[in-house]
Amino acid sequence: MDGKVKYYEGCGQEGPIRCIFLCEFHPTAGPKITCQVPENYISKDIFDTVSHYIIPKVQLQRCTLTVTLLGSKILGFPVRIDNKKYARNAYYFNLCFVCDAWARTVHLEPLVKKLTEYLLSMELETEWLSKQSISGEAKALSGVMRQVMQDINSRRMCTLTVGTTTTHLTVVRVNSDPTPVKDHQVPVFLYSRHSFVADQWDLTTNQILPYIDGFNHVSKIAALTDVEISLVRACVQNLVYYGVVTLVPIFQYCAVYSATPKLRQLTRCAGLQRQCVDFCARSPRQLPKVSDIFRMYAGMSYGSTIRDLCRRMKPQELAINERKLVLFGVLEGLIRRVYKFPITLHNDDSASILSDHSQPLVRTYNGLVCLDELCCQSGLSALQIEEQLERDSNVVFIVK
Amino acid sequence: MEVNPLNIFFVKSDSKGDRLLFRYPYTTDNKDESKQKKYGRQNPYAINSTEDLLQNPQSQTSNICKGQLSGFTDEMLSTLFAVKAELCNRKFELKVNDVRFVGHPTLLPYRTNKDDTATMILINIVFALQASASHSVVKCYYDLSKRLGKALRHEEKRCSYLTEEMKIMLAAHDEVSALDSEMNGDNDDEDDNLRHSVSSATYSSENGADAAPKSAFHLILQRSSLARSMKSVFEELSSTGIVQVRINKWVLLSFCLPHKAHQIHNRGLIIEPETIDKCLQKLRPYHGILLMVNPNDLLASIPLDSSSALLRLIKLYSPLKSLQTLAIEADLTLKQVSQLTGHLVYWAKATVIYPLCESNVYVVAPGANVHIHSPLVEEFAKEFPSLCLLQMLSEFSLPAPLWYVSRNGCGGGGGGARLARCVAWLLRRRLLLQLHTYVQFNSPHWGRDPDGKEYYCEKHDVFNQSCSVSFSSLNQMQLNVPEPVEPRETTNTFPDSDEDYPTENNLNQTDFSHTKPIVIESEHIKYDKFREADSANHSFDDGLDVVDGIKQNTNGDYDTKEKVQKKIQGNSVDSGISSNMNGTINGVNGISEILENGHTEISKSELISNLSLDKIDSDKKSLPSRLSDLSLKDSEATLNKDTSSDEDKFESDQDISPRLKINGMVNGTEKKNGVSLNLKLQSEMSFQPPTVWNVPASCDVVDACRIPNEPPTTESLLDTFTSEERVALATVPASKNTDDLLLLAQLHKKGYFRGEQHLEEIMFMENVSRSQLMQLLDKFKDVLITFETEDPAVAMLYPYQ
Repeated sequence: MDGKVKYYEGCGQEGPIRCIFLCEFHPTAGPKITCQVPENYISKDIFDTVSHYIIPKVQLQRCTLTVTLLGSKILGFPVRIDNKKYARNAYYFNLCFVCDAWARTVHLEPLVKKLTEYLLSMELETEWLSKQSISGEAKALSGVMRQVMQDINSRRMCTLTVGTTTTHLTVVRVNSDPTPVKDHQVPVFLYSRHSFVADQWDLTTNQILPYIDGFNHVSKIAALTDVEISLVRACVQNLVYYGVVTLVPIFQYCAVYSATPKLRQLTRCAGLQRQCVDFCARSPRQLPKVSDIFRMYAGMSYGSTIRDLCRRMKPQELAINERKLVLFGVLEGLIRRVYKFPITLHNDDSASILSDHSQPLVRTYNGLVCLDELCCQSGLSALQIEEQLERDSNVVFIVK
Repeated sequence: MEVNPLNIFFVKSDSKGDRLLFRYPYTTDNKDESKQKKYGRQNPYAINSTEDLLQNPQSQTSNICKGQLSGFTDEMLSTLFAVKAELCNRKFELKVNDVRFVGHPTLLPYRTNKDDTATMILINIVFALQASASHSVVKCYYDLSKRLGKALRHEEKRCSYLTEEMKIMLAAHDEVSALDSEMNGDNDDEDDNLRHSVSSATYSSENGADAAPKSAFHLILQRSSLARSMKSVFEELSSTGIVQVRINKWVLLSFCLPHKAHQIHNRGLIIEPETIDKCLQKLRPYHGILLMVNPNDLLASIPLDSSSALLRLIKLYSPLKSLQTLAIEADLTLKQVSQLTGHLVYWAKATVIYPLCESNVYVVAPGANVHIHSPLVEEFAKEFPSLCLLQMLSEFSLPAPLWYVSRNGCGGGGGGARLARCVAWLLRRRLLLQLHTYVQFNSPHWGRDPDGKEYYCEKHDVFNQSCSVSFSSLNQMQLNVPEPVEPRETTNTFPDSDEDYPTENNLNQTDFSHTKPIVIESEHIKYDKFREADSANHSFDDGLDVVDGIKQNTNGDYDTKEKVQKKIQGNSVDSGISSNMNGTINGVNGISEILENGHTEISKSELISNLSLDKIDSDKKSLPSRLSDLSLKDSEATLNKDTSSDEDKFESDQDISPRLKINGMVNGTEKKNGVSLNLKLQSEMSFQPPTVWNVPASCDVVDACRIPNEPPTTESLLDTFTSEERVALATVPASKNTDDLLLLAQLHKKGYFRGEQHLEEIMFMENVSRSQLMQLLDKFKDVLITFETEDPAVAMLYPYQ
């Protein structure tokens, strides 16, 4: 029952491949399963009911087809080879993966396609596939399929060698495109950096890696590493896509944070507490108290900056590193950053006021750019910018 | 965007084969071929190689072209959608490249013309969606397809509607193909499988002026009412997400796609039914509703045969009222009101808020999409002429109570009412978010249960492992291979029939009961023994039935009794509410009033008065909040006496709260409780400790009765603290004051200081005033930590960042 609660249809989780089978269009018997791993996972009855989605009409050849029926999901990429040498002048086959109906399968689609292409080229060159099916046992084929299923399920990658040809299969997570990285954002590792294999990444990424420490923002990293900033952005975006880093707001003492409903987890979950205490400690020898940490988080609310909080609570005396405290809170979702967005009011008399002040450059603020970003763009400190904006009566701040 | 349907198809399959009878939109572009060629790479520097012998031909990867379906012929689709009989009456889901087809193939008996023997015919109404549509969207479309199938089955049974409509459609197809073969007589020998597809392709030569019909589907749309219904289903889905179609002018089909419907009011806000479910589970009696539309418009749009409870609720609606108040005023149970709230939220007619109040603290919501060119700025200016949205929002930069904001004079000249209207507007647009204060008792033992065990949440349970997991290669992430969820044998159970409609939901572990529309189909379908046809009854569980049942049972003396009820309600309810708001003084008044009432009766008053005297004695020393508890208790008892003659009838009814029954048993003296639904409701809510909201076993009523017998002493209440906590408490100077300490101990005992309940909830549940609580928090600020954050139940309906 527990499994059912966790794995319902639409839970969005990936599941294992339950079965791989090869289906062919037999000149006399029609669609049939040539080879299946494990045996009889898809019974004859079930196969008959779904066969016309597996060996479909001409127009659907070379399309990724996924059909969800009777509690399982069948992914296939039907292929037809036209050649006079085959009976009926064509050879139809489809290599299908079977998963549970609840599982996400988008990430397997390229895999099915690539594997099918591999089999297709072997068939075109040496008639490997049709020979397998004629032999009746298809030992080599079932060996290949078993290897794919085991390796993909356990390691998410697989290297196939049949005869003299080799192909590599890997599961790549399908994520939506990450939003563009902004200069003022701070990349931070989601994993321990020791477990990071540098030689999997390109040179630029390797160059910026040592500077990703959870406190340096993108433009600072660019300056420190002497790498062009757009390259740094692209690298960071790439790392975000693969889930290696995530982006957090820059730490400033004038920044405002607010507690989220998740904060109460800290009072309950011992795992979180231990993690938090370890992370936020100034030195590993003297660990802070959870209650002090909680008090710090609880003190974060609209209208009180980190500076105020530090003055009040004196984290140094509590053995808390406030930077790490904030970083941990943001990463765990215990707190969220409250941004300040300057926005220019639409006033008809604005023009006259501006001319009175005779400022050469008065920009309008559209309310989409937060103060952090402005600081980063202009190279001024938050205080300077705020002072400048305070003088302009047309600019109001929206804090959210 | 991805929630919109791409196309709707209507396919039949019978002894004469399968056929795509109708599709909408049907104007597939006739330049299909030329467009598909463009799909390749469009690099201007690339050399156009004529033929790459080593590469396999590029396969088609997209079937969506300019928001329309492309690359499928009608004939192909009809073979795909005409499923085998084994797959009927269950979900049909097929994904081809980036298009997902979903439908519910329905098998139904069908009368052929020649003889009256019924044969079976399969119809399948299929929606084409973008493959990226989320699972819950797909599920909603599936539900719609299923309902359409059922409506058609019903109409076929009633008056052979489907037969007639199919005849019209087939005739139109034949007409067009005959015309077609006349026109291109010499082209007759073209491919056989193109025969059907001809009907969908528009004739390139005839672009409007020609009188001849453009396509069979065009003809069908003119002639067939079913086709028109499908067209309007498609169009309503794409425009508002709310479908109101009367099939054959008889069966009303109401359907709502919440993902789309919520975007009417807030662009880009996608609320999934699962979220609404979760929100409803967290709903408490102190929450309120905020209608997204004008209540009068809403009343006008509700069909005639809707539930009267809903109408009453809407008529009494105000964003200032809590659900409890609404329940009492509309004479409904709390359960009914929350079910109705669920409906209203599902249909994007309302959202959940904490009732508007001057002491509420609002800040700008993190996801608020405001910028200088935002259309909201204009809308706001239209609604509130002298105000500026941006300026208004900037007033909410600091978390201050509403009265403070209004004193700053930003409400314009209109005073509080105008500010309230303004805040309601901002809340509707999800621009403001309310902050609540939560309290956490600073205990030395964090994260430990009373029995000393350590609790781990799911995520951090693997804390130790997660750090040591080696991510030596990103592609080698551990995939937890779960065991098969369902053995394959069980999946071959019988296909769903009408009866198991509700149970189907259990499979997916989400309760959709409230998500049924307010009216699915007209009541005529009830004859068909559809359990779910009467959605109102179905979804309100037994709550509504209780009310109806009473009215039927007690015809004669109901009126008199009702008056009695009303009178007593007048006293007790008012005192209850006012004491909630104004603190203790009213509570005391209320009790004296009710005691007066109570003493006029004799039957059980001795016991009651003893009880109450005891209570008053003890209360003099202890907490004022007890008094109001007592008042409720008494009012219930008084009521018992007043209507003792009718009690038996109510006893026999299904009870709304099993807990009260248990109470009756436990108390013995009060076996005959629960006369008026309202009072029950009220007592239910006032006595409920929120932590055990759903646990029937623990009942505070018992506590309330027991406490007077053993008046609370400081020592007994201090037992709730551990010895370490007591040491910490002893250092706080305020603990010298027994009253304060008692209140603290009592609230702590009930679990209010675990950061779960906000101040408003404590005030509501325990009947203490805000100032009392604030004083308490201030006095014990060394051991109590407060933090401000949003109420998760309300925040759930906000767009997440």
